[in-house]
Amino acid sequence: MRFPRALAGSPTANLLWELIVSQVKLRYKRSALGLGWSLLHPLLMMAVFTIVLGRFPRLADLPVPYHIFFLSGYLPWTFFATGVSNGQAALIANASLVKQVAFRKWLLPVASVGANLVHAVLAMLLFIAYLLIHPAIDTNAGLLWIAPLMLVQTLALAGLALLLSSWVVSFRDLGPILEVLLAFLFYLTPVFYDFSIFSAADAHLVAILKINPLASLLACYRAAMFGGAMPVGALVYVLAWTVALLFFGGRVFTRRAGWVAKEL
Amino acid sequence: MTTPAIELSSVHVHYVVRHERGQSLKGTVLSKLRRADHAEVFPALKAVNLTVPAGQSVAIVGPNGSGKSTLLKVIAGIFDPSGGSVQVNGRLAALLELGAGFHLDLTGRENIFLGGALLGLSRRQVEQRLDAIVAFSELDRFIDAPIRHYSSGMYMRLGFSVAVHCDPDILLFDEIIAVGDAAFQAKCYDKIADLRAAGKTMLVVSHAPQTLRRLCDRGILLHHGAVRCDGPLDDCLREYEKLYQTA
Repeated sequence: MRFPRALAGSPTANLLWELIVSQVKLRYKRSALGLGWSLLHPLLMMAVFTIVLGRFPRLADLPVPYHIFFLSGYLPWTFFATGVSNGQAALIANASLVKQVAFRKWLLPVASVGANLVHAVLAMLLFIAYLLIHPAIDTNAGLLWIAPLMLVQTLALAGLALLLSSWVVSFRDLGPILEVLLAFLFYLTPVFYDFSIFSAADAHLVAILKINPLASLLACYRAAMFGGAMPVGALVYVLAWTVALLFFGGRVFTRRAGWVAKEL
Repeated sequence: MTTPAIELSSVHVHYVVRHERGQSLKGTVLSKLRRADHAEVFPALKAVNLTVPAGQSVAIVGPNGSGKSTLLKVIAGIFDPSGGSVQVNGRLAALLELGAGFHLDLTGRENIFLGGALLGLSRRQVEQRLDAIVAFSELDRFIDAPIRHYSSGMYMRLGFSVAVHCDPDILLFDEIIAVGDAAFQAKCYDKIADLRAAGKTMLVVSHAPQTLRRLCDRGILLHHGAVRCDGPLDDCLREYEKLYQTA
């Protein structure tokens, strides 16, 4: 990766870049597989889920092979879950920095989402290549939607990271609570299943599960990946959440930024 | 009349000290329910007024816990004052802890880029200063080794080099004025003398009167978070000694 020369005069762009690059470098600095871990992890999960759930009748009958279906949900999910999990800890994990150096602190949670974006893009590119060569998948120009979808997801995560990282400074048990909530959310989000497997009798349950904006986000991703029509309603719903999270997260963070260094 | 480099008017800083219960949801909810607040407000700075004209170097003295570091942090903008206003005109470099933000697993060179960015430099500015930083730190042989393998002296030299090369208008020093062995310390003092001659503003916190006499003409004595004396350095140091004689 090279620094974009057009931004060579901007201190903010430089700091964001350095924070992202150092996090990406540090995560796997002393591991043998390095970046390979961010690819191996979803593949192992895919293997486990495919071996077990891939044999369930309704899941096996989905229009796309189950292992592909799983990854189409699990890659965006991983980006979300690691983004939340690292983003909420962005200030407390860098406590000495926040307490000793004056800089734009909002860059810390944003950079932690940015570092996860790097891993997500890498995994997604390989997945797209696999979709293109797999005979059972009819891809079309809709694949191009994946880029703006990832951008929207990044912005939503940035808002969430700003919000959570500044709250966690005052309420330390929010961290472990969030980990539990993420585990719940994994099962409540159609990552490894589809709403189509529910019978008509469960229509109410599905309606409730659809409140989850992640369900809408995954619907958009899958439409892009599998050549379907972009569900406009779901897209608008995701955009509305994104704007709200950015606005609310930005507001909460700026209010708290002036004294987080004292609380840490 | 030019605008002063630093202007503080009736600055208050309160720390909230939580006893017994930590910062947790449970603790917050429980204490709200019981209407018992275990928090105590500790005033670290009380109505501090301070104007530092550009180019002046000011020594800040006082016993432990008198608010010296809090004063530097509030000027550096690490946190906002609880009351009053802080105005800083110019680029500021706070040497509160050398190499804060450095990562042990990154190389010296990578840490220069990270450290420079944290001090507010653009990519181009770091690139322009890179050679000077490496040369000053005398670490050229080890610059591409992870700083995990540096001695503490080498680490401090790198931190000092990055900080003084970010071309600040205002420098804040918290006890760390010169680092490394005698030769490198002399080099640090020379660099600081150069910066002073170049008209930089400095605030120096130290317990070493000789160091302060060498660098500063004006002194501020803090005691229990309030300015006890503000004037020629020698007056402040004399006043500081009196604090101990009466105690």
